[in-house]
Amino acid sequence: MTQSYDVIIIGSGPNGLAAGAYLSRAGQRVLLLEKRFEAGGGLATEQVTLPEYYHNTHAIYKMMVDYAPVYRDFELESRYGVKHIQPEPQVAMPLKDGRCLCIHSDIEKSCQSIARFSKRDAESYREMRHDFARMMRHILAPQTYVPMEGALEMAARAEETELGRALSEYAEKTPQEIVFDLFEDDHVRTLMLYMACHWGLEHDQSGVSYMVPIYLDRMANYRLTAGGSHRVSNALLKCIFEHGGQIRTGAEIRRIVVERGRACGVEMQDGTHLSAEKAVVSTIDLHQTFLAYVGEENLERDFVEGLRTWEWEEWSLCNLHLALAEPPHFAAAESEPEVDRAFIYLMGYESLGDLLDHWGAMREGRLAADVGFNACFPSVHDSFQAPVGRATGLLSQMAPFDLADGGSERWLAHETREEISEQRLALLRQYVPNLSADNVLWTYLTTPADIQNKFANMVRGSYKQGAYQPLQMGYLRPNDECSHYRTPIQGLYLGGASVAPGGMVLFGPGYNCSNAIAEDFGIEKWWQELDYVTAAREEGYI
Amino acid sequence: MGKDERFDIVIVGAGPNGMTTAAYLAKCGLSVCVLEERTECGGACETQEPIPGVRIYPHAMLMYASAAPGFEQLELHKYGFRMEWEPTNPMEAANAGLACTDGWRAISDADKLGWAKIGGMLGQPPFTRELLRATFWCPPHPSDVEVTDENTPYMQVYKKHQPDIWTPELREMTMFDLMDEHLETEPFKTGMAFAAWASGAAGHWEGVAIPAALCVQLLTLPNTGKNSIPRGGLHGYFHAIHRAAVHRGAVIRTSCPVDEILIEDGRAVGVRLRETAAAGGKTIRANKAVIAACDVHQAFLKMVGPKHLDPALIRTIKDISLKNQTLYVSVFHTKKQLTYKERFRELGEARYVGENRQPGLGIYPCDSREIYYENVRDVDGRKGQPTVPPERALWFQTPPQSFDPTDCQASYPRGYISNAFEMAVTSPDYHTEGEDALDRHKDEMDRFMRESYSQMVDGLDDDNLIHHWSATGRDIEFRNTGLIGGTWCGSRHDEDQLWTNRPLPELARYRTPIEGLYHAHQTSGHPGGLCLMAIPYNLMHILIEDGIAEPGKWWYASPYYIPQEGKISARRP
Repeated sequence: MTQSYDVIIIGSGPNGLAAGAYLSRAGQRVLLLEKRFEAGGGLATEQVTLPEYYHNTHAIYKMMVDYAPVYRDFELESRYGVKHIQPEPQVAMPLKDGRCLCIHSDIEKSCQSIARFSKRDAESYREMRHDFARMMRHILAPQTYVPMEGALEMAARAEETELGRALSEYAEKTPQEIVFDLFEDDHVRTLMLYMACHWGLEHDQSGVSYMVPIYLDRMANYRLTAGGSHRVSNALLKCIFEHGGQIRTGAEIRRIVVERGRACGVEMQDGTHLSAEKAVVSTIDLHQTFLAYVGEENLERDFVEGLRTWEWEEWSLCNLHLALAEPPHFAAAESEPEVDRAFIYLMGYESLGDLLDHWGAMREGRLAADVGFNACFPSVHDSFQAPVGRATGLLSQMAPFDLADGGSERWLAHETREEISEQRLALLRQYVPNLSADNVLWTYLTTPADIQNKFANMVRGSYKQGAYQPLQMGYLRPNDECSHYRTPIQGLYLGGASVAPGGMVLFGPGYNCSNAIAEDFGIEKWWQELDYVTAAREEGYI
Repeated sequence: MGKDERFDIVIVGAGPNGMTTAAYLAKCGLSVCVLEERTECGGACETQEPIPGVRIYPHAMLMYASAAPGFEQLELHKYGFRMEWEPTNPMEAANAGLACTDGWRAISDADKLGWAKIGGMLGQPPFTRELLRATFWCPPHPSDVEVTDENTPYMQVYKKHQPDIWTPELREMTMFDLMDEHLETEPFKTGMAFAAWASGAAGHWEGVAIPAALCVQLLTLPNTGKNSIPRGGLHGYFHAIHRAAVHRGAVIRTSCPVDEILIEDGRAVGVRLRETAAAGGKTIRANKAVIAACDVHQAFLKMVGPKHLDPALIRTIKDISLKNQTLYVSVFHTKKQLTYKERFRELGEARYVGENRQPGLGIYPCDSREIYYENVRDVDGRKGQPTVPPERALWFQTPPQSFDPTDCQASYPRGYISNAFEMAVTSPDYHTEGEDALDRHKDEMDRFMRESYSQMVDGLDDDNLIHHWSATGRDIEFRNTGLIGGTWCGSRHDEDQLWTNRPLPELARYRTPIEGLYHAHQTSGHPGGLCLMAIPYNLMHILIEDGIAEPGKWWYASPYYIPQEGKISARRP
């Protein structure tokens, strides 16, 4: 077996796997290098509480199953048995007074639920869903799977269509302004603002709000992978194996070998030299890629300075995984039985003030006892994930990496962890009274500090490898030299969440990077451009 | 995905035995499909992350397989297998000692020489590898061949290289008998007997002296301590096997439980997947063979089912004792380093091992075989909760895993993770208080574990302890359906279930009464567990005999193998 490959990919998360699968099927000799002991990165399903309880310890809500090219190109469902479940209601926000606001994939059902809070908001929501679905279909989804255009070109192009102009207007506002313009009811605003900012937008920051239509459209399009998220990574790994690709796990690299300005391979910690005849693809974060593995001596000073100003994410997640003796039964289900079968719950925000207080506290590094979270009980929708009659649960809370009192170290203190777990469960019980102490069989907490300890690329708990802010998005992610997946080092490509369109298991960076490599080396593409991308191009949207 | 598929070979179970078999057969050019019920392959070769950034190995931890032909036959080094093979003989260490209640007791020169002699190290040249291979990596003789002193593989090896070990009684002895003859100090004998008990063949069982002693030799010679942990743990070793299989074209399907082994006209022709399988409830057909690399009960009683088997055989299969003792495993996470008590400090820093400097490999308390018997009585006799006081409970601790510099995901920067700490306890199914007794007594048992370990170390007090991770036998069984009762070695390795009797004389050569159906699992075949790559190697002889596998030049058979009359010999000219 040779130590020489066409393409070496560093990291085997969703993007590394996607790039590996596209390129190996294109006949390239591909090697993936993974530092951890399993492939999949955030696509992890682990028995971290009790045996037979499968927990999706990182990625769980899949937002692009209907758009991402990998599902179609590799026939993940028909050939590899990867199935997705789309539970209904999609999102539910139960309130302590017994009411519940529910969003379904069906627009009219959602409007009926919203109308109980505000008739005007229901009308507004209907219109918003139609508009956002069109923006998603014609502009936002297509942009995800092609290289980003520069800001000026993109702005000019947007001016040419009505949909483009509407989207540009949103981009200038803050998420809060968008939500306030659309909705009047306090509860509706709370839910919409949370979902708009769920994945890292700041509620009061303008410039990246083109993502608000994405998240509010996707809010009714989330899916759960049957059997757990890891099945997606397993399927992609099989695609790689089927086409002769290889993976090494537990493989730590020492440096990316750069000779005469060209990346020509990787040197491993144990001294092994692996050569890459065409490309080295890094799907890990910028600092590891350039500062630790390429080395400053191979880079321009300005470029290095730019890397140093890279901002990690403002806040991360504190997740509590639960092994439960029985499925949840919500107090709100007395009036709305369907609540018990919702996919994503939002709890603990009885008013917009509660949500804004939570965000305010995060900025100060405070960890309040009674802040809300989103929750999910996957085994309710997929019986594989827990023993018969029992249930798995996840409480997922936005949380800062550094705590004012004790820094990130405090996340690792046993007392803090116990306290957090107890507080979250106490809040949960206010909405789900049957989950008493007896029914919570085991808990497993992962804090922002744990995320960094587990995944070296998620610095400061940055599960998207860097903040979503105007200077780090679109054509500027990670900077104008690298956002087209090529880098100042010839032969070195970026294909992870640090490059456009970013993280969240979109498979965009891995897919786009594969296209870039195929184009640079004249590799024949066995895959076709997505229909909706072609249509968007023809209609002048992208 | 509804369409049925067809392969030469279908293997049920992707643990170490199933996957190694797949790697061997794929290397023979056969099309192979491996079906695994869980979401990950590896079976007992598993890695978990109970604290993000820290790996632990909840089941298989130690590398017993060093002598396996599989390393060279499957070329595992080409697939990322890495281990320090530095041969170090612990007996040569000046400070070798066994831990007793009053401190370390040195091993005498007579102990060192005797143990080295049993292990084949005193031969000219040393014959350790030949001895180990003869004992574990050789298929049982055909049933029409009477097993004698002359043809028992290890007997042949001793006769040739170390005739003074060979005696007419050797095959009847207990390991204690053997040790009394060749070793000197009681603590050393007690420690080794306990290590054998925990490895599957007890020190006091008659007829298994050599297999029991060599189980321990697999660990102590020629590698020990840190050196016997492959990079990435046993799961890293498994990954190399997995890659060897897929590189040769084997297809691995996870989340695909098998409901039935399909039998037509007395011949196994494939399997039917459960409706909930990731691949759907379809049929996967096997042109040449179905290999059950899952436990013997599931394979015969559930997947084959009574209508294809003789009722008498079903009864005997039900009677196969799948339970040895179970190991209760603990890992401690503490704020400060655990430290040896005063009386164990005399051997100095050398006893702290690993990057995070934790107390290392040990067995305690080794004072005398009385302690061994007291523990055996509790577990195998009374079959209840321990009645021995914590200071007389026998335990052992595996070598350092966390914070090994090559263990690159041990990135957790704070606190101290202990090495795994294990105690033999009653198997759940035999427990007099019911099979969930240990789970009900978990808190109490955890306390007992801490008290026992506190005989030797300080630091397990509530102030210092952050987390005590533990797994009972049932936890283990729920995780891995093949680890019945949480036993690590599959089933008892006593005389009735060893070699040509494992699991039953009629099944001992991995064939079954159903044509085209073979078994390859620690519960069902010689030499049992420990992730040795031995069952697949031994099974290869049988598949060659039956004309299923035709390996290339890389293959060599065991020199002690006796071909079945009328079959193709697995021995190559």
